[in-house]
Amino acid sequence: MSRPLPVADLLEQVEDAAARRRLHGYLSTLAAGLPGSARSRRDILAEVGDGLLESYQAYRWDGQRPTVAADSAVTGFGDPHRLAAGFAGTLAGRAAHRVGLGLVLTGPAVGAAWVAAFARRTGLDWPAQLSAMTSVVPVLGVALAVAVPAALLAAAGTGRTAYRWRGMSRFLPLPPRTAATLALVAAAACVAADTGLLFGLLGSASTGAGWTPVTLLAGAASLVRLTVVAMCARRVATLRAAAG
Amino acid sequence: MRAESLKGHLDGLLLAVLEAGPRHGYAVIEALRSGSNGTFDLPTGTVYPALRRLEAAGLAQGAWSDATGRRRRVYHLTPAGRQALVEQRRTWHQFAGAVNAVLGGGAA
Repeated sequence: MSRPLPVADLLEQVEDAAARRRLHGYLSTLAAGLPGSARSRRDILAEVGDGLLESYQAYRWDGQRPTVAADSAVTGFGDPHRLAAGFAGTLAGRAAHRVGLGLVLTGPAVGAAWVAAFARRTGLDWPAQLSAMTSVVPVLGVALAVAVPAALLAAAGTGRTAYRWRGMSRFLPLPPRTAATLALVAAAACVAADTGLLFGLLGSASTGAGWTPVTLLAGAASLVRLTVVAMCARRVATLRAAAG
Repeated sequence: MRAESLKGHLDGLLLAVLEAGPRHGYAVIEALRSGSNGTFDLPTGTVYPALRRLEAAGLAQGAWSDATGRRRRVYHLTPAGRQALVEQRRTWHQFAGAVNAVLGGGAA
């Protein structure tokens, strides 16, 4: 028994049971291949279901028998797996844009919190602060060198900005899978940096360096970002895989 | 005409169809078919992810409507979409003119 579709009531308008099953089967296959949130899946199925029903009705008005009209509508819509992949691509591009933008926007704030935390030990000397950070987390420099450009590209290579700038580069807007890959790379580097900083924080506490309110704030900021980025990266990976 | 042949032009064609006024997905594909005298006979499903892509790019805006007694998603052009359409038309005329000049048999 197949799961009830959110558009089942829409298909009630199809008078013939066999034709209804045919249309339902198409939408079920599409639903099975659709990634994303329950809401976006429901919206997509409602939109495609409406179009499929309209197509079926157009064939009926042309004089086709119900089952033939349903077959014509389904054939006209094309492979449901390809359609699901098309939607996944669009969703992957959007998700990659959000991850990139989120990292670009939160990066300076989280970074500033950590610099402030290390400033207590090294004084207000920027090179010394950075040196202190990289000595605690050796991977930090590499992680930043990877995360910053990848996040910038994922954010700027998709969405409205990319379309506005498409005249400047033939690579814009980025294909959704490329944008998703960049977002995943940026997310992985960010997770590595935040994890390293949090381990560094735990290590410094064990050596008696002590935790200050600023250090705790920086740690909390990294922990929150780490959790959110990991969740978003999982979603981007799912969408990227579904985009084919 | 196969969907692959329209690669790179589909967004512009969809913007052009929406220029006439707001439409839902199926009406967009029908307008594309009738406007091209059946030449652009794409799989109907193709248009839906493309419309969502235009929406994500800020070139079209989709909204659910019950105006016809049936709940459907209707798309209309945004100001950015109109601007993009003007730009795509200009690029197309330039390209088509150049191809015509060579393929049209007028070249020496």
